[in-house]
Amino acid sequence: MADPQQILVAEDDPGLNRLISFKLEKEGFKAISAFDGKKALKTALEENISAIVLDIMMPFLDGIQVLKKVRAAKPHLPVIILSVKSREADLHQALELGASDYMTKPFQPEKLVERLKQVMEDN
Amino acid sequence: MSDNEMNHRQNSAQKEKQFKIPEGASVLTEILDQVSDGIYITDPERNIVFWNRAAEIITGYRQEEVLGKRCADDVLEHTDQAGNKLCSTELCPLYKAMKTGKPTAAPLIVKALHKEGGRVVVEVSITPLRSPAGDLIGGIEIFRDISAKVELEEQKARFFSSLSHELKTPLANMQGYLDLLLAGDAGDLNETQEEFLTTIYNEEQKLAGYIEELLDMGRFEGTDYSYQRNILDFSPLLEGLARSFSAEAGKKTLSFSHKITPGLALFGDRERLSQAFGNLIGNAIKYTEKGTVSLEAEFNRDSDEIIVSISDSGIGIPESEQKSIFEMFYRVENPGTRSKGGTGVGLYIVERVIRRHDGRLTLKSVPGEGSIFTVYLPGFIKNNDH
Repeated sequence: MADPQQILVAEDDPGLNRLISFKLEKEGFKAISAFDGKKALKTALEENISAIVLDIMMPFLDGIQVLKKVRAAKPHLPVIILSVKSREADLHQALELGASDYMTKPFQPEKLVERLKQVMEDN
Repeated sequence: MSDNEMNHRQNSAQKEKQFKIPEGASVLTEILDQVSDGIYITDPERNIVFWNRAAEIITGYRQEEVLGKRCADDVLEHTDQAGNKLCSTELCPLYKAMKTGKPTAAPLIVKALHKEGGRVVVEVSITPLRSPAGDLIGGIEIFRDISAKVELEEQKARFFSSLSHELKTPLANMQGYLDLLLAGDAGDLNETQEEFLTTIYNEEQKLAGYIEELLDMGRFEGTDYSYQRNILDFSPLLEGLARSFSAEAGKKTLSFSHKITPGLALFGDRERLSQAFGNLIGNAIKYTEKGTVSLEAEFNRDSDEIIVSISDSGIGIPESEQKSIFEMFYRVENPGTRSKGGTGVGLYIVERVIRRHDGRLTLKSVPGEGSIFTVYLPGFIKNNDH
């Protein structure tokens, strides 16, 4: 059997990070957790990952900065933004910077996985 | 005029006789120089002929540097908050007042150039100046530095943004873990456990909805100073809303139609207008089970207004309740038909946003037949043919 695909979970809230990771592992992925932006960027650039679930408000480096830098290095990597920011302007900014999809919190874990699979397939 | 007022007037008139201003004293200039609002006067060609001391302080330009110059010639160039130049456009308040001969209806918030670079936020009112014979001989602009108030609003916005984060993160945890439990991702549940968790889940959903609406209210309430009013292409904004709501109407097998005149534009806050019209269209769809919902927008050249109407064939609003629906937390009591949830801040936000754009809103509704909300907003139309 092939190794499971690795998904980076960049989320500073420990509860949510564990929740997303748990759901992803249930679905047969391997989750790699990062609890701040710097760690998330390092993992995104150095590890062989298949997608990122990316929070925006994180310590050290916010999700928007992470997205910009990841896009420069890996233009096609699927990135789903998962944020409490629900303003139209936030969504536009993220999509313009190359996010593959945008979900707001609270969210249904089932839907997150669905949309993650979708953007990975589109890729 | 009441008797008291009459007496007061007479007394004042007598006092005026007793106290005579010595001839040659420049009382008017003294007064104008002492007020804290910037004031300048132009001739009909908009050349500056008077510039008070507060104007010097607010803009950094001394009187001798600006006298004789056109206001738009690098002195006091006004822009919207995003930096688009208003000078010599329909949106320049001075240009408009001189063209129409009418004072500005409400103070306009714009940014003005400072001599040292950078911009200050000012609130501007204009009055055309007429000779005793009634000829237009110039204009007076009064502007107030409101940078400090704007800063306060920005602080408030930052507070709401962080409050939003603090409230939604725990909610997201609760909802997410409940979802996992109910989906059986953490093992099978017995019937009672499932029932109890479902109750928690439903209540959590309600709480999440309320928090969302209250945060919206905090964000949209704000004073004028929190509005980001810029030159805004309004037709594409409505087209965008129409696209996203078509999908929603499709889920209910409603027919949704829209007819939007291209080129509509206004001086407005994109996010708030988008929220307000989103609320109106969203409500129309929410309270209509079958039939049609339609969105139309056109321009009335006589009144310089954009007219947007949102009509539905839904449950309607009884006449006795039509006035109250724009009040905060008001919800129509319509036994048996209204179980749609919500705190009743949606239309309140709509009304506030429209009013802040100097617009107005009317409602026609017949219970059982439907409702038509019509919004009138001062605006203009961009013509591509010249």
